[in-house]
Amino acid sequence: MNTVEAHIDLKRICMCFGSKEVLRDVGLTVQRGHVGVVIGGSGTGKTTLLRIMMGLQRPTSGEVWIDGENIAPMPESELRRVRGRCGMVFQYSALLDSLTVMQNVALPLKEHEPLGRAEREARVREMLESLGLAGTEHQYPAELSGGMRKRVGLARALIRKPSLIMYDEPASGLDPLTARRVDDLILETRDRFGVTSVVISHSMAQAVRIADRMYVLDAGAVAAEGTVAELKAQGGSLVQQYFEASRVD
Amino acid sequence: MPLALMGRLGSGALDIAGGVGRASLFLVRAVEGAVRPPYRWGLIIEQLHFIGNRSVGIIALTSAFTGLVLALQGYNALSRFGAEQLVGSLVALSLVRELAPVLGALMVTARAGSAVAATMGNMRVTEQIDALKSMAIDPFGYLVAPRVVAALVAGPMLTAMFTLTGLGVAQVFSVHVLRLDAGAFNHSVSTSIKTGDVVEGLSKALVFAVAMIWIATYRGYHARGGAQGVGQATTRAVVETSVLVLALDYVLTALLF
Ligand SMILES: Nc1ncnc2c1ncn2[C@@H]1O[C@H](COP(=O)(O)OP(=O)(O)OP(=O)(O)O)[C@@H](O)[C@H]1O
Ligand SMILES: [Mg+2]
Repeated sequence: MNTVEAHIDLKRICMCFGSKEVLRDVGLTVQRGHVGVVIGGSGTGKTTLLRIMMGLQRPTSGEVWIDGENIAPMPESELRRVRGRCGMVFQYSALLDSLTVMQNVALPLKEHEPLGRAEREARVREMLESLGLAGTEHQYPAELSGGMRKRVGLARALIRKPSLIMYDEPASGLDPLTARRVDDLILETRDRFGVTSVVISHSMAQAVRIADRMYVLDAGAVAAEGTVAELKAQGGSLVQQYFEASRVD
Repeated sequence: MPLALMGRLGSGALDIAGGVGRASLFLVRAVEGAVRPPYRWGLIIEQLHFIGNRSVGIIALTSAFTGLVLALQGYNALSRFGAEQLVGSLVALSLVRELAPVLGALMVTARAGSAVAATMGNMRVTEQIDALKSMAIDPFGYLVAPRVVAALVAGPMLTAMFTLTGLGVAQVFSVHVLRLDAGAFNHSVSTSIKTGDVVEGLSKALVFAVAMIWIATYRGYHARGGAQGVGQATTRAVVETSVLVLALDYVLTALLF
């Protein structure tokens, strides 16, 4: 495999909490400008994997290469430099509850970009509108529904146009139409700006729609990987079960 | 059996040493966060308002009662020797050197220290601290440093306020209820208080403020495990700060005596 092309490359990741082994020898590569989807049952270690990719958790062993740098042993100050080019959507949104929607989404701009207040707010409004959140600017996270919070989290991750975005179940808690809009957004950022995405998902339907490459995680290890077509052809009982369980017709 | 006991003692000592080490590193990173740009003036002012302004009411109330009690007790004791004219001096010295810094610190710990620990603990368990990191924002610069700076400014000011309010209430009470002479009261206050006393009181206030905000942010930052964990962090912050304030008070008094 041509590793120069890899935007994110995980090698032999193991993760233990105490005596509990959550991830076992996980390898995963997402090429620049591709959408990689990680799918798997509840509690198989998907969120843990994403946190490791962001440097929020140090793996027990293994390497995490982002843009040609191994972030696994990096100190916080260097991690900040790498994270400046990344965005992350949390499974449970993780909005700052003392800030309004406007302040939440504006925070990364305020901290990192020398913009005037008017320009900053204009950019936030535009982003909120594109996610169907117009009019919520002055509300606090506690006053929003779960799905709205999720979209605010999305807006916050996208606002600085990062080159690598990690999504932890971006469509969970959203109605089918809004979930579809999020999928379109992920594809649009890929096609228009060449953004690389790692998407954690429960939904095979979503995976099929957006994945350039898919990883099936089972009990902390990669059970199968490949393009959607490859996985469909390949079979393997778990993968087959996933495809069958999510057939709607 | 003695071996097992020694093992337990040893591991206990290691735990404590490790805890002190981690807490020291935490303080170093907080100071780094405070001195390294960007300076977040808005957040510092917000915290000054929260830790300082919003403690004014409770400080005024507790200092007034402290002043009243000191005047009464002082009058009771001193009048036995016919030395009532020294009530002002006793009230002033007790407040400036001892009671204002200690009681002030305990009140601010109960009001603001607990809230700081609970807020930061909640931010930890709801992944808000991780969210800051994911946005390439240093949580020490964004969350911890503004609170440390605000506590360092507010602590001595609240202590000064405690002293002045307590003294004022004691004076009014002594003159109007105990029928002491106003001139004699004021004179005994102004002749007994030396610069060194004020320096001692304010140094204590500063040290207590550091202890309060250090423990509150540290306990909050390291909270884990949901609502229960946040509650635990808050309790520990308040209890540990209270004990540490009283212990430090002894050490500082002995040193500055
Ligand atoms: N901080 C932690 N301490 C101990 N165990 C943990 C910790 N974080 C996660 N785990 C364990 O790791 C396993 C994987 O958790 P993770 O959150 O990664 O699952 P997930 O695949 O994201 O699940 P879901 O789809 O339900 O979100 C779980 O069994 C969980 O109990
Ligand atoms: Mg998860």
